Amino acid sequence: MQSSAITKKTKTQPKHLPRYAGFLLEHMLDAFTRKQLELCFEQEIPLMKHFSFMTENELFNLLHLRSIETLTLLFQGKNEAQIQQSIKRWVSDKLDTESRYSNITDNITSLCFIQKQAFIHFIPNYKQDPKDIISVISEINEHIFKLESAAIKTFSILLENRLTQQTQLGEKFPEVLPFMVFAFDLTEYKPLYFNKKVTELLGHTKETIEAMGSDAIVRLIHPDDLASFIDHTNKSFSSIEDEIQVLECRIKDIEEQYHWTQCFITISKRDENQKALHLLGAALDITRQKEMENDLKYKTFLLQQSNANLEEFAYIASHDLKEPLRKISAFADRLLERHKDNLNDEGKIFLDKIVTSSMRMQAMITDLLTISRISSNKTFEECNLNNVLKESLKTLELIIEKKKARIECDPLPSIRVISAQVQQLFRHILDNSLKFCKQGMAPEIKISSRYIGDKEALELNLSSSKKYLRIDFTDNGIGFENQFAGKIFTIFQRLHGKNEYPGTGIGLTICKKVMDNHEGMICAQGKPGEGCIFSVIFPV
Amino acid sequence: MNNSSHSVLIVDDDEDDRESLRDAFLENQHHQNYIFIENGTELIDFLDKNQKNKHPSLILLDLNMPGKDGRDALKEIKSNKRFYHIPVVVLTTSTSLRDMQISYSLGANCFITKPNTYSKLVDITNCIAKLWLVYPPSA
Repeated sequence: MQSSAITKKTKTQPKHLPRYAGFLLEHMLDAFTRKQLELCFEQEIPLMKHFSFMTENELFNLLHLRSIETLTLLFQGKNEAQIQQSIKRWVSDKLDTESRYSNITDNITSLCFIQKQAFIHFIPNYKQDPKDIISVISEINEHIFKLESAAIKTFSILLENRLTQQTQLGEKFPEVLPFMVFAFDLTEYKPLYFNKKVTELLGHTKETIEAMGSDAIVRLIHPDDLASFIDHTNKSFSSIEDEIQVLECRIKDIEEQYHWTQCFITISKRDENQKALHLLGAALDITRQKEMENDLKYKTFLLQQSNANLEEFAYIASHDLKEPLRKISAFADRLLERHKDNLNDEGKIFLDKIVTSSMRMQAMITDLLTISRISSNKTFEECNLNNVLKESLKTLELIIEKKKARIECDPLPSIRVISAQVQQLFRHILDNSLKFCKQGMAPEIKISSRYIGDKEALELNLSSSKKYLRIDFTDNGIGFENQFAGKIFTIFQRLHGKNEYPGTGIGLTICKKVMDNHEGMICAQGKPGEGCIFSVIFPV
Repeated sequence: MNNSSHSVLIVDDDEDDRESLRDAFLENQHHQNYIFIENGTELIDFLDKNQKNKHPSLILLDLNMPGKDGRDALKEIKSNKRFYHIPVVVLTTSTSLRDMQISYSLGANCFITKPNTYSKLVDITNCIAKLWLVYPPSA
């Protein structure tokens, strides 16, 4: 590239310049360097800003080396080589980062001027004869002129190449974007530009759109979205900063099908009175996204409906199902009260069974309701688990005292939980241990906690990206066969007869639900006759 | 006491419940003029037709009834200057907290879930009578 910029070979070899260069090299090197430096500062050439990090001494040393290089080449009569060398230096000095053409030529002119001035400055020290002086000056002028033209040519080519690159990039750019890119002439409502994506996605070409005439926009945009589109373009027209307007609208394809798009529009050209001339836009096809959005909306609606149905069911269960049951027990109760004497023993037993069964069913319905209601409150707050446990123990005071139970507890940490639910959780686990104790043996429950590692979390099928707190409740009760460990959390499931141990079998189901709400887990391990361990694991 | 002019309205769509309730009151010798009403519409009609000095001393109101239910009737009674002073005790099968909140916000004087046994009902009616039933000084 540079070789093409080199000027034609000079016809006459300079006579004076090599000798003058030799003279400067031998006698005036420092002064010549200093003069150039002085002139650089005087001229305030833009190139100097790239050297602002250097001290004056460092600059002097750099120029000193360059001067030796220049003068040596000139001394050897290698003028062309000197020109080439200078240009090479200027390119590496980032002369071309001054992107505007006029800046570069200014720089080159200044640099050449400085060299010329420095050369001319010392001529009187070299020759006093005016004839000689004129000869030297003309040779210097000729050389510097060549240098200047070669440099400008070189930099012009560099600049041109870069512009071509930019233009090519500018043309290719819209084609690689996922957007449809379009430009409209607003004065004539004519399409100016469309990228390939427009044809790819909508099937329209510049020709088909041109054929629509001045109302192309009205024809392409869904009637329901037109008002919003016009509103946004009007905003673009009046905005001074040419801000980008974003809107969603449906655009018709060649087969009359609408595509949902997200449009970004702005004014790309205005006249001197700020009147908008060109509208530039990019549109992203979001049809799939919209479909998914609508699908999600529909599913949310269904879910809400289903939740409402569930609430209704819960209400029906609480009211309508309980109503006849209440009557059964109330009348059986009345019968027992009023006509006790008219009933024989068997009659009394039968009646008693009716009362107990209906009571039991009442309790089960209440439990079902408790389960369905437990999901409704989900307010997480930082809780000191020791206090939560204390509250749970308070509700069990009577049975603890009655059974002379001993409960040992290590200090528990504070974590974010739904406090009321965790209180229920602790109560049911403790209640379970207190209930299923060995006959004639005081229940002992030990509560301990620890944070679990990644490996253990993985073994328990928990996400390894979270940290977990595990709380173990170990008791000395009757225990159970490990094969039933999963079964005990299912609603109304019991491992023992209800006459043996009372209850509907809801407690551990509530525990499971509470842990589900906390995105944690509950598990149990047991051995018949040796007690069991209930473990609850909370993400923290 | 038997010929007391004070009346107690028992508003419930369930005949058994109406009778049980009256019986429970009578167990503790609370002899009043018990009037059975089957739904909200009938209740409002009854109150409207009644003369000013013959307002009932107590209304026992079920919530879920066909047509105008207990909530609607309660709202009308408690927002009407003529009736709002009449004590209304809501007696329902519902255990829902929401029903309780709604009832109190509409101005109910008490919300009670119907008990499962008759003996409990007797206890409850006795309490209600002591709180809201006015007996003549001679009684």
